[in-house]
Amino acid sequence: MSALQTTLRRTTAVLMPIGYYPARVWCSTRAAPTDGKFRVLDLKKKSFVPHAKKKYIKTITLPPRALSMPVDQEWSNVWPGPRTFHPATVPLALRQGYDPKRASPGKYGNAELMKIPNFLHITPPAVKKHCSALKQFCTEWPKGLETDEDCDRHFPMTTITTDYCHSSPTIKDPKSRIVTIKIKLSTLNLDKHARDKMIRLVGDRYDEESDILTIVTDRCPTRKQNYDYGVYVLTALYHESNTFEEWERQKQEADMEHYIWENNPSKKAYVTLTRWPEKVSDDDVKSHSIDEDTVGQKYKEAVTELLNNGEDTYTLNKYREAALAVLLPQTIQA
Amino acid sequence: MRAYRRLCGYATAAVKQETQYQIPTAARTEKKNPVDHDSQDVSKFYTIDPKTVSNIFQTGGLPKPFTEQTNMFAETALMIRQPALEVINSLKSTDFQKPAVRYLLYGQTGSGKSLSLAHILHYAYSSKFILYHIPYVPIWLKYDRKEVNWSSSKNGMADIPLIAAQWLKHFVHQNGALLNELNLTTSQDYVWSQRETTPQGTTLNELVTHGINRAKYACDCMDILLNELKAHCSNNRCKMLVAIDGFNAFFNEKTDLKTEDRVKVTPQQITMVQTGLSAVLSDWNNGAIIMVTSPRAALNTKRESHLPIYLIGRQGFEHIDPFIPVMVPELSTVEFNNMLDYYEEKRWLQKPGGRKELEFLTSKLPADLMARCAPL
Repeated sequence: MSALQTTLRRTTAVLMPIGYYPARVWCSTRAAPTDGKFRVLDLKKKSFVPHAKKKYIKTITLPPRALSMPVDQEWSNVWPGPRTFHPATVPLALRQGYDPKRASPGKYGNAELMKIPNFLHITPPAVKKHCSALKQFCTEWPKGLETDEDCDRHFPMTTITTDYCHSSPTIKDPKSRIVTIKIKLSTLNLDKHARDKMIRLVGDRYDEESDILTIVTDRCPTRKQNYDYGVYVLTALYHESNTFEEWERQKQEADMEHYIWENNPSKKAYVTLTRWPEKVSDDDVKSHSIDEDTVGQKYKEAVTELLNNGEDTYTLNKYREAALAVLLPQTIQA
Repeated sequence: MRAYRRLCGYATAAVKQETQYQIPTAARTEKKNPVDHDSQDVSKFYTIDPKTVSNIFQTGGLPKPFTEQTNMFAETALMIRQPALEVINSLKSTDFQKPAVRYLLYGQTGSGKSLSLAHILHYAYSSKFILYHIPYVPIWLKYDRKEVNWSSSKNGMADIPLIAAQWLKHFVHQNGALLNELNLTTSQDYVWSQRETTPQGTTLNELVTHGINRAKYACDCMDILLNELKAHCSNNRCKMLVAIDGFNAFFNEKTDLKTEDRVKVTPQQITMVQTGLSAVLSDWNNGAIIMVTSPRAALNTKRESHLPIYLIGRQGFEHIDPFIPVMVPELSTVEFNNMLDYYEEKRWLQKPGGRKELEFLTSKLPADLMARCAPL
């Protein structure tokens, strides 16, 4: 580049009026650094700027509330409803958890204590208070229903329904249509056959231990319909159980609900044994009576118990005693 | 000086130990014949002489681990226990004009049922009973390596001819001498095939020999033998003891066996099983029937309980009712200590002490105890 050319260029630059495009200057070599530091062009971004250390601000907390609680305070005011455990509110020296070297951890900052449900809101005085507040809405207990037996006798059937409260646009809950009807089977006064038939008809709806039949209806849209249907089913079951169909005569030994000694080979074996060496026919077995035979009666009882109640040490021993009396009477006497 | 003292200390300690630890001897009874055993002898050992052992148990009847132990100890010593004694006492006082009484031994696995049965068998053998003894039913029905054929005489039933022939040998081995002495004969003609017949009046020994030689007819021979023996017993010609170990295997749901045309056979379809079931029917007198149920004889899906009706089922109960159930319990404390004394005497157990631990580990079951003491 010649010296003339350089001079020309310089001139153009000088000729440009200063501040000609004041708003459109994006970049200028004239910009002075904002802080006092000398800026370095750092293309590879190597320099590391450490974060300013966060300052620890000490919070001022009140001492735990439990420390300033009077001894005679009303606990139900301190802990009115169900709530997760809070160490500062509960004035008890609780510990929970396991530490292999030290004592188990205390209540502060102890997640174990927060996980478990607590019943601090239902202390006996709180329950008492609650009950006394509700008492004004109660009516007197009806006379003649003092015991559970009385209740069962006068009101044998129980109907269970559930109401649901919601704070939603609709107050209806589909679950409230379900109706459960419970009744004790013994209150229906069924005879032997009807009772057996009823139990077979209802299947697993009958609980043998408590003798309660449970019918749950939920197939109709409203509660009223479901209740009516449940009662209809119960009525139908009752009448169906009391009818004797022709095909019920075909009941086999395997269909029996209990072991009945007279219908079983055990009786034949016993009669054969007592009448030995005679040959015994089926009619003899049928006509043979053990009413006056104490050994036979004991034996019958033992076999029935063994097969109905299942075998265990007691029933097996009873059977053994009975069998010994039948088979080896002479050893019993000796 | 110190070294000398230490040496003396060792020496005296060794002497002390020697004098303190004397090898205990087990309580034994001198009565060799089970007929004489009474309640005085409970929990004591008695020895069966080797000749009798080979006469009764050579072809089965004692559990295998026990046989091995007897070989090792060079004697067959059985502990006299209450259940066996009870059955023996009942057998002594039974009115043999009444139908045969059925006893059923039951108990946990390893509680000594089979050995109790062995004791009873010894009694029966020495009191001249004919032994109709099935050593262990599951060996008939397990392990599909046997020849199984459809029976020619009974429709729809299956024979296991070789096993039946083996059993007949077992029968002859146990009773050959007694049968010769009693001279029992067949009551009617039996026609096996066009050429082979057993005429009326043949001795039972010959009948059995025929069964052994012609294995094809062994199963039928077993059945006929049983019927003949039942008839002879009812006619007061002889006394018989039916003893079946692993009886509940008769009532299992299935067997391992298949016929040649690959049809699986149930226990009830096997002629030998039917014969066994017929043997426990008490339609005869002058004898007794002893059955042993064991969880081990059941299928391995049905071993939760050792109680008899669980194992034989309702059908089995109705088949053998009325019977006298005899529980074979675990060892009592006296029996347990005597058993350990015996093991120490025989040096089977080489260290004294630790009895409480053994009691806890084995729950006083004799079979467990034997296995547990083996490495000690």
